[in-house]
Amino acid sequence: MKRITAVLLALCMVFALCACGSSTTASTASAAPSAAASSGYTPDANSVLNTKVLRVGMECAYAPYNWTQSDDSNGAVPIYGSSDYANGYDVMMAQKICQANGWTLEVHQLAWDSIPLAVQSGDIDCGICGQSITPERLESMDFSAPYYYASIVTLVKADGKYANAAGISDLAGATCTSQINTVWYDTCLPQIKSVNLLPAQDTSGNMLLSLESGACDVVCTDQPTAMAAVVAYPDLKMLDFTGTSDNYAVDEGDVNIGVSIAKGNSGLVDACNSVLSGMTADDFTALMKTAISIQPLNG
Amino acid sequence: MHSTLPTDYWGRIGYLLAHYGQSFLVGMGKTLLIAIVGTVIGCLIGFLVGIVQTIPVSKKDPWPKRALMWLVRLIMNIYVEVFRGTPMMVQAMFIYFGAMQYLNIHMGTWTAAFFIVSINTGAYMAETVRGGILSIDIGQTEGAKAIGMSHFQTMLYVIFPQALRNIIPQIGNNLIINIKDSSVLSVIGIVELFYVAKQNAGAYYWMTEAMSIAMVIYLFCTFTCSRLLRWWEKKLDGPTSYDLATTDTLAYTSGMTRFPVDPDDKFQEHSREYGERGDR
Repeated sequence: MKRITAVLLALCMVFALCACGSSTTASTASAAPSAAASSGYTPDANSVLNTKVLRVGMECAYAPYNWTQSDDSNGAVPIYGSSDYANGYDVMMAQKICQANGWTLEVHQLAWDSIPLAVQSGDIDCGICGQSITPERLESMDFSAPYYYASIVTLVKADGKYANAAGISDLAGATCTSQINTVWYDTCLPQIKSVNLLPAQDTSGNMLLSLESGACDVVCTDQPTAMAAVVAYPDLKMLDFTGTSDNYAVDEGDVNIGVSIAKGNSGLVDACNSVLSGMTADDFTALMKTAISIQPLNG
Repeated sequence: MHSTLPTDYWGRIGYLLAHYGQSFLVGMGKTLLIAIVGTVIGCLIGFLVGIVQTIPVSKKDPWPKRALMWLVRLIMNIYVEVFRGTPMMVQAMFIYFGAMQYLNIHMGTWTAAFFIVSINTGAYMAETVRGGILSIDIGQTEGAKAIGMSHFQTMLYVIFPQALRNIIPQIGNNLIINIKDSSVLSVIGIVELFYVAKQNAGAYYWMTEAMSIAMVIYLFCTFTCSRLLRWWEKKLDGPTSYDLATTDTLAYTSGMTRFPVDPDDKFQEHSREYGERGDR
């Protein structure tokens, strides 16, 4: 009898716990969409729209878009909570946006994978980190107009068997890799015939090391990264199939690099676009040239 | 582009150390801070959970006590299994960003880092402490009970000091694991040693060189910590030769007993060598 009472009591408690758990989740779930539906995006207390401080997320490990340096030379910006400085194309672009809007720039260093999460959760205002504007990303985030057009190129060993490839059909059967969650890995590499696709690497440095060490034959990336790579590893060669019919087929959005912003934050999107609309593709190229010329690799 | 940077392995390592040596040291400081704070708080959590889990419950106890203990143990078991059974990196992403996105709790990156490492260590330490307490001979508890100590007193003055000595190697293990595993916290924006190496590798694309430096620093940290803990362990053991003051003159008429009784007898119970042979 005693045992039965104990079991019953235990069951009661479990049900009570379950009830608590489900009711709280239900209430939060119902609260979130209603708030979003009634007033759209509501900037929180830390948002740039309230504080005039633009919190920008980037890896600071992705030259020439963004990198870390130990001093403030060439207009580098202090990294939030660190003694180091960030610089690069993304930092320069962020500076332009801040200057035009009268904001202060605050660079937050985050791993590439967690930048979208940080934008969505409001930890940072936006990600300026070389993200291409893909339809999948547009599902969960808003993007500014493009702030760079990153043509897609191929990296191979200069003395390897793919060194003279004239198009992606010449790369058939190659062992390939690229960076995780990029259009290069997800869209471009699978277009190579009978490709041997290795797991994606988590940084651009890792994917280059993979090529340099001989773990793969072909790396697909964008032009600025590839230009930095051939400086770091002189035995690599950049192949650009742009303009030929034998190139990777990508949507226009896939080569457009944009500023990622929390869904519905149209105030920040407009502020970014007002700056970007005044710039042309040639301005972007010129700014990227400056970034490449001052990157640490050119020491 | 004409680069004046070194092209050989040692040249690049020298260059990185000259230009980013300070960043590496700051990264090392952050790594050690997270590991040490996480291990200390984790041990406290572990002690608490481990002690509560070993509170004896008998069928003669009143049912509210048994029900309460059952519930507390259930929660603690869930805690241990969940945090021991999921990767720290996943927990970091889930707790830090999840709390912000759905609960609107903005904990700082440092609070989050300490919290995550602590509760992880706590989950591992809980099992270690439980094992440490169970490893102490039941006679110790019976003896303590016989002279009228409560469960709490028995734990605090008799069992725990002995269990602590036994679990120090495991605390050291946890500290070393934390030094290495704090590297996953870069996902929430903590720029510790590994991320410093990664950012330098990203600036120069010198992966091997940057990682070599990080490896040497990690090894230096873990080796120093393991030696320090070994030293502490030795210190807790006390000297092999000691005098036992026996104030109870009824039991010990000699007044003083000296150990070891025969310094040359390596097989007597109080000899260090006897214990280290592992055949006790």
